[in-house]
Amino acid sequence: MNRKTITEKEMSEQLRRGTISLPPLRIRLLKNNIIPGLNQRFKAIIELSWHQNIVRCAVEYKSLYTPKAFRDGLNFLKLLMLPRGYEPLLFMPFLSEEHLLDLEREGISGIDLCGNCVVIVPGMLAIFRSGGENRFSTSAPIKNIYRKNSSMVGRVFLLKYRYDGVQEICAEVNRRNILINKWNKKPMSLATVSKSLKTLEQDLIIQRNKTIQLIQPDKLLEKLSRNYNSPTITGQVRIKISEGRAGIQKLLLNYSKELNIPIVATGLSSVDKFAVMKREELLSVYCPHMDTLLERIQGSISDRFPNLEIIETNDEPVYFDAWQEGDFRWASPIQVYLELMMGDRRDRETAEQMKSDILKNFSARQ
Amino acid sequence: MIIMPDLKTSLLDLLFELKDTDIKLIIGGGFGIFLKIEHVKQLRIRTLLQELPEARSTNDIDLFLRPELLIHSEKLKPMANAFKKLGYRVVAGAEKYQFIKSGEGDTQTSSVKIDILTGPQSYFHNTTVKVDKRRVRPHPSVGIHAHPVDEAVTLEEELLQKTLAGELTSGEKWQAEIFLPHPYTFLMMKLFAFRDRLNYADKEFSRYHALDIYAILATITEEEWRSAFKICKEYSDNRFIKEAGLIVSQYFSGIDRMGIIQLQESHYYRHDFQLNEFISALTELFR
Repeated sequence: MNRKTITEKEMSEQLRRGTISLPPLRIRLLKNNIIPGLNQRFKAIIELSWHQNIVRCAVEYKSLYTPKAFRDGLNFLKLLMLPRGYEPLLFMPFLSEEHLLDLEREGISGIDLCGNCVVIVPGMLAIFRSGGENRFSTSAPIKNIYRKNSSMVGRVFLLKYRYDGVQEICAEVNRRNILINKWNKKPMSLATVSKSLKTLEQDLIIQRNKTIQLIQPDKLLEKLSRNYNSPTITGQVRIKISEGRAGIQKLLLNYSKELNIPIVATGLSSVDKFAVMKREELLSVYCPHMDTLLERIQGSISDRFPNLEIIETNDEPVYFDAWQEGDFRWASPIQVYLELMMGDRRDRETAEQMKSDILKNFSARQ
Repeated sequence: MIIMPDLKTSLLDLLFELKDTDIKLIIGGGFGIFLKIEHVKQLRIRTLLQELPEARSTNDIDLFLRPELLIHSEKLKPMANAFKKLGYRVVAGAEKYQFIKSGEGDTQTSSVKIDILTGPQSYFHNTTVKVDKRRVRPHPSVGIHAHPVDEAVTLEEELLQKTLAGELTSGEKWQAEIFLPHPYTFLMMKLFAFRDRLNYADKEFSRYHALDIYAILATITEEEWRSAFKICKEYSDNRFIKEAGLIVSQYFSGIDRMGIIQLQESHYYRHDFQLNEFISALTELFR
């Protein structure tokens, strides 16, 4: 069954109908829809049994299975004062093995809708079931905010770690996106920024208090890297032109101004600006419209050792936070890091060096 | 089983013994290709193809001597002495141009073999050197001959100088200069070697040569690529150059040609090899 979302009501209904199967455990709903009161802040009471062993549990539901939802549920149950003879139990759509181990460590039971559970009742029951596949994984209610355009919301936190509000973040994202300023791309909306922030918060990467601030830059980088997809390329050409590297850069900058086309070096071609790595002889650049540029560039496209590669893409993140040095635009350090992480062993080693620099900058700013 | 570091040590031992002479050694064969791959990888030099093969195993070192050394044979005496000192013995049937040194257990697989080679027979016309298809015999004799390679017409063109560094058998660190043939020369030799081995029952050697041709072409640098055309133009009337063009056309000009098939049958072949680019570049060079 593939579901887009599941609500607490639907979860409660499954408990009522007894459709949750976690053999050898039997589950019976005793009381539901408990109105939170002074002594009964939990949402349901269920009975778990295995042969003659029967235990009653006070249940907290969470319809999301994000790290934040899990942490909130766990903290809630840890602090809950329960009547004698009741055990705390967390009920979520999916509990990963990591979550099950956390629950076990805390002595709190947990069940999910995917066949996983941990039940800990000292002297009576100890059950650990894992390996059940996440039936909700392909339809998580939150879209992947770590790739494509929405990744720019995460990226902006690595450039400035604290913001006063959503509007400031939105403005910063749009200010750093050169395709908005130079190529008439539509600015990112406040709604998209808010949605991304919600996921970042659920994933415990940012925290909202009076301000919105980044709390786990390493986790953010890891998420961006794991979810990074190369840009969608609509055209690509390699050319040998008679100029040397400096001449090519100057030429491209002139065309960029003259034709009003943004041109930015790829992450891999920008590496030597940030890390100790030999510069490639081939300069690769992103550009949103290749043909206009090609009409002006004189060179041979059949040469076996080209020195310029033009990659046509309209993917905004590759242009995001591109910075100008002298007369040329280079990729942002984060784009460099992400492209290096897609490369070979030596590239990934350099990426690690860049990661530590990015994190060092974050610590220094805190 | 000989591994590349053992060959490097053997070569360094020899270079150490030759340190006070002006003998410059040109390293060809599988070991020369290994050194070239190592060179471009270490320096991260851009090469014609990006997918380079792993170094194939070999227990031979092909040493090319510049014809000048064979013509003025007294210069070769230190080399003959070095072979003696290092415990090499001549190979029966190829006396004075193949030397072998047994390794542990005295088995053939743990031995290092050195083949002494030189350029074409034509280099020695009107000199005191006696030449036939098999041997170049310096006069006066110094105990070293060389096998002439007639297709190596461009042997002395645009050699690549490289520092070989490592440990001697004694454990002492040592480094010395060696030379690698220009890839065009390397390709010439390997194309002929491939054709010569093609009809042997044991296909292993022709597969090795096909793989070597891929490796040589793959590791061509931009400068070498451009100079290859200059060399090619300069020698365009040479019959071996023309013949090499026919070999390429017959065996390497398409995916269904025997050279390409044998390359794919090599143990070292990988599916990421850039066959189309390889065919296109080789045919462009030997058009």
